[in-house]
Amino acid sequence: MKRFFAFGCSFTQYYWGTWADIIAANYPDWEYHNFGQIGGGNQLILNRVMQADEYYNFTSNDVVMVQWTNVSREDRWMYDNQGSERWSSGGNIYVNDFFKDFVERYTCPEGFYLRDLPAIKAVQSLLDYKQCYQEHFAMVPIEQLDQYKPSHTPPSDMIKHLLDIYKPNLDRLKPSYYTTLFNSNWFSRTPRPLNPFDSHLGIPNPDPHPTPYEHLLYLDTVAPELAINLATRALVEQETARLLVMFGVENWRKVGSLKELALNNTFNGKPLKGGGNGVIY
Amino acid sequence: MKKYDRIFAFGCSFTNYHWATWADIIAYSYPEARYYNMGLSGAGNELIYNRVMEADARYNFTKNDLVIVQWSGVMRESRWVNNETKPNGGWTHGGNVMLDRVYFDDKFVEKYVTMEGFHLRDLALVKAVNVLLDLKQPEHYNIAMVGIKYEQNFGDYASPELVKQLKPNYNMIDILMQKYQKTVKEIRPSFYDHILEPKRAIEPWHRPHVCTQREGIVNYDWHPTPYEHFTYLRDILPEVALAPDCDEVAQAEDKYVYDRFTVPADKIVKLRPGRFNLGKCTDMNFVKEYYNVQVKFGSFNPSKLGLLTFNRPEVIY
Repeated sequence: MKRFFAFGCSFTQYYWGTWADIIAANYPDWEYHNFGQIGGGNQLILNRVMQADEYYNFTSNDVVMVQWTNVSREDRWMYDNQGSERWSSGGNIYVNDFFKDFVERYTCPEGFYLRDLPAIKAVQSLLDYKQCYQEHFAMVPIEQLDQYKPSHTPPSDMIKHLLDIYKPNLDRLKPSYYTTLFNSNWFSRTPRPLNPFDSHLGIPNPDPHPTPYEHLLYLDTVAPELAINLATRALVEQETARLLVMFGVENWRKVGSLKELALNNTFNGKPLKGGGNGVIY
Repeated sequence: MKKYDRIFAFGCSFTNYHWATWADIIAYSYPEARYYNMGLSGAGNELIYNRVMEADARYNFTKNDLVIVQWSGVMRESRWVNNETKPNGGWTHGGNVMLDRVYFDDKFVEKYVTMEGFHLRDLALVKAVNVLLDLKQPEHYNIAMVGIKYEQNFGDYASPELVKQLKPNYNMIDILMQKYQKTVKEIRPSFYDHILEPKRAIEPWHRPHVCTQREGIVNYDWHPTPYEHFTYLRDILPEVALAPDCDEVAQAEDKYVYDRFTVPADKIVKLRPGRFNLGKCTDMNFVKEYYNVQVKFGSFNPSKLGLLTFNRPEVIY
């Protein structure tokens, strides 16, 4: 049996179906492992790919797809505010209060690129070595430091230099969601579901994470060779319609909080389980 | 002897130091090969991994190359920062993060450091490097300053009290070591296990000295001396043949290192009794001069000294 491994951030493992779940639904005879992590950065992705290979021993019969995220994230295995040990993975570091003092003192754009570009090379090297079928997707263009806004200042010479050194690896990344699907504005597409865990004055904000339908559009655009069939397309449309109701304003008014719904949501009738599937950290 | 087109060495101060290391001894043995020493004092394994990846991206390792990676202590934090410690941008490379108070403070350690997290990070990086080298197939080896599992040895020492504050999750570390056992097996026995720990057990210690640059505090220097580096290569890495005169050159250079890197007793004032602190050097000019010396292997003749630079790559971050 073929095995399918997916790695990435919340664009890979979320409260509703993602590109990975769509591919899994399209190829039901593949053994499916989703190691995406909400808020995860490229260091977590690198780490989990390496762990997964230690555990599963990838072969040339495996399909491994990696969705790379923006570089300005910090993945550390540490204690959280509640005293539990886990990946810190709070997403974009510039909007994460936990890392405020850390960002000011210990980070700089050059450091992020110097750290993350080798991660892409390392993962590609492993998958080349193991001769897996591999795809590399991207949430934003790698040149974009902050996931929420395109950079208005040109990258420094050091960043340009690094992008040049690692160009052969970066050329293997598909165009990003941000540019191909969202036209460089996360809220350019409507309608948007509400974000179950992000609110302003008690009102949930619209959620920029792609709906299943938008994930399908992305796959059609950057990886048509995956040949998503009609049955899967129908499923995606159905799931998208369901989530727009579930995470819509009317439902929020009715139930008050969408968190419980998000945590128990399914795709294709199966629970959406993240966090390493219990066999890797 | 086998021929190499290029020799790439990666590591911390056990690779690139004031005096010749294992890397320089190998380079001396293969004078026709182009030699790149990418070691950096105080480097952690993140930096070492990073430089291996960058070196391959720049220089494209081939089957005719020799690549040796010397892994350092796990409890280090190498980051490229741009703050008052590195106003033009640079790596933090202050050794064990629990002790390094140049780049990090107690608050950082308390909030952001876990021993198991550092193992989780570094084991993946060691694997990543080995996969790359397996893919590109240069002749390659992994050696180590200390064992990859952080032990309470003095190799990259922090006191048991400091370690305890981290509340180490040894169970998780054991699971990780088990998970990565194939990767860990790639690493040869460490300098500390093979050379230094046995010497530490025999007192009085006979070592060169090291001086702190700012205060002139004098300590024993437990970096391997040239002859110890030679011994390590001879015993641990027999696959890499050394030039026939290496033994002789290393012995002579060792003598020079002991002469040059020993602070005379009349320049030391005792501070307080203790094993790890010989006192304070009374001559700060002497201390300053201490760091102006780099001894290139095979060039120990004092008349040739000064700032002898190794064959470093033009640009490497």
